[in-house]
Amino acid sequence: MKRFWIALAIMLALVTFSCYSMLRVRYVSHQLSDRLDTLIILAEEDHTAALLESAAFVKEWDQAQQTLIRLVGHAQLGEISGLVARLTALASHDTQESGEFLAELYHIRSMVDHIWEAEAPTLRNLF
Amino acid sequence: MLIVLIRTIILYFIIVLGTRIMGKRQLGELQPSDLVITILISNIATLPIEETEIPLVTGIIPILTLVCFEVFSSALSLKSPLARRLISGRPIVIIQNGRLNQKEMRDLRFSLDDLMEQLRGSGIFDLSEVQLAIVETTGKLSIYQKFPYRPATAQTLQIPPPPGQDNPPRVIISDGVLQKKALAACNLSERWLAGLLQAEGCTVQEVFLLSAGSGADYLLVKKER
Repeated sequence: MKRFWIALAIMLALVTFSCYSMLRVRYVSHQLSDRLDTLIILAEEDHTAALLESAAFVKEWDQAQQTLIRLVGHAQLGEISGLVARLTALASHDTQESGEFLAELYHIRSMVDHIWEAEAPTLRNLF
Repeated sequence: MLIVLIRTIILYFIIVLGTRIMGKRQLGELQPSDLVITILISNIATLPIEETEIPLVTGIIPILTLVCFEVFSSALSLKSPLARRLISGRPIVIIQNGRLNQKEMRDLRFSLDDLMEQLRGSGIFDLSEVQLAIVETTGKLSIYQKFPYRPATAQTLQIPPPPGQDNPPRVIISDGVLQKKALAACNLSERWLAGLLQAEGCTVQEVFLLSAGSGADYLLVKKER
């Protein structure tokens, strides 16, 4: 029965860790989504502020990636990193490029939302 | 490449730990659920080793989950005969009183070739020698021969046991290390051991193997230089 209790303890640890990692992914991806929403609004209204904000977002993404890389597939994160790397350059161009900058922001936002959608314990993901 | 190496080492220790937690059932003959778990674990373990883009926890969590569920299902089988029957099945008698039960063989998809192969593996070449044969849940065939064909035992030959033959020999010294519990189990003293080693002209550290029974008969193998 000793093994039974050891297995039970391990199972509890696994469940705790799985729930924690799921909540962590949710928190990080929602934080990034909120930042991107702010950036989208700024891109439409104040281009200079959007440039500063996009530089801050790049740093925030680097930090978030350190957490997500342990929990989510690297290919997905690599794709987002590639897009985020373009942001500052796109934001620093003149307003004629703002259409591409906005499109890129929406693209990144959908991919960031997908990180959480793919990890959420829903029936769609389970089956 | 270094990542692959480190992940392999980590997963190796996790699997060894998992096998230890699951217990000796995995190392002996496999029940159906044990076989499934073993195959699953080996397949899952290769994923994070081959694909470095997958987080390592993607391999560790399912492996440990399977280990835990194996322990739970075996604990449940221990407590509940119904659970045992559902998880492992039940042994099936295919030869009863020397007669083949062809219906059970058909249900098991156990052919005559399978039967004869397993009988030959047990040294039986004539079906008429078998009184009872049972297909265990592991797929192994357990055989009970008719009386004239059973190996003679000391009891049937009415041979009285020589003294000190109740317990099997034990390893007293293994690769230069004294096993005190084994020495005590054979009712032998350290003084006896010291006398034996002196007669053989060696020390404990120079002995590769010393096995002895409670009758003080022994086998000693010295280490090769």
